[in-house]
Amino acid sequence: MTGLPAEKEFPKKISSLPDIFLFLDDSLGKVSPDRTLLHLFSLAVEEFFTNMVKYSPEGTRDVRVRVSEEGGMAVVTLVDRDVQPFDVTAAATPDTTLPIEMRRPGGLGIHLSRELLDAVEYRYEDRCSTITLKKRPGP
Amino acid sequence: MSTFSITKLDNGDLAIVGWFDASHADEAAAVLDTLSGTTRVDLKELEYISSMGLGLLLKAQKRLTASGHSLILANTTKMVRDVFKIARFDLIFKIEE
Repeated sequence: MTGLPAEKEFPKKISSLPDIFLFLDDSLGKVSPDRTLLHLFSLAVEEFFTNMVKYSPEGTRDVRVRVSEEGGMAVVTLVDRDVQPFDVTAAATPDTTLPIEMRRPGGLGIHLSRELLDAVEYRYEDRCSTITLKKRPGP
Repeated sequence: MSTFSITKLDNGDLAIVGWFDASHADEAAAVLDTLSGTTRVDLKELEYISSMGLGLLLKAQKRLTASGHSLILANTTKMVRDVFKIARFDLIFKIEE
């Protein structure tokens, strides 16, 4: 597929988000013109990237984001280097049926990512945390 | 793409427009924290919302509900509607289509 895989590194800070979204828009547009794909991946990438910013601050290297197309599926990976293992994908599913007084926003983004994408995977190897996200574009 | 605005309209509604991500959290919280009564939130031009945006709406709803008021979420786009459905916002907000 022309222009894919695409890969870019982003400073590990929240202000990188607009540039990440632009990169996803450009790259995922080569997989499918359907902006639904961009919305779903943006939600998941934002969630996991912000978790890297918050919970793996010891890693000072930029986060690598890669977009590819494999077997008809769009695939986005985030690689956080020189960090301790932290499998954020293993977070418990929040109880979304609780009354408002008991609702907490924590864990909602990971829950949404699991529900909206076809796969959310975590791997730790050589001091690198890699999160792989997959989604088959709609018809 | 990262265009975002949150604005109090003359009719009393609140309009949230564009791409509501974590980089706009402070701007959004500054406006949501000023609400003191039941407020209709017009989302017809909201293209994207992340968990950060959901969390801010939830926080505002909890605060307003405690004083007998609420947010009413109106005119959702498909992306936003799908996210609200999974987050079960229908259980804690009035949602106008």
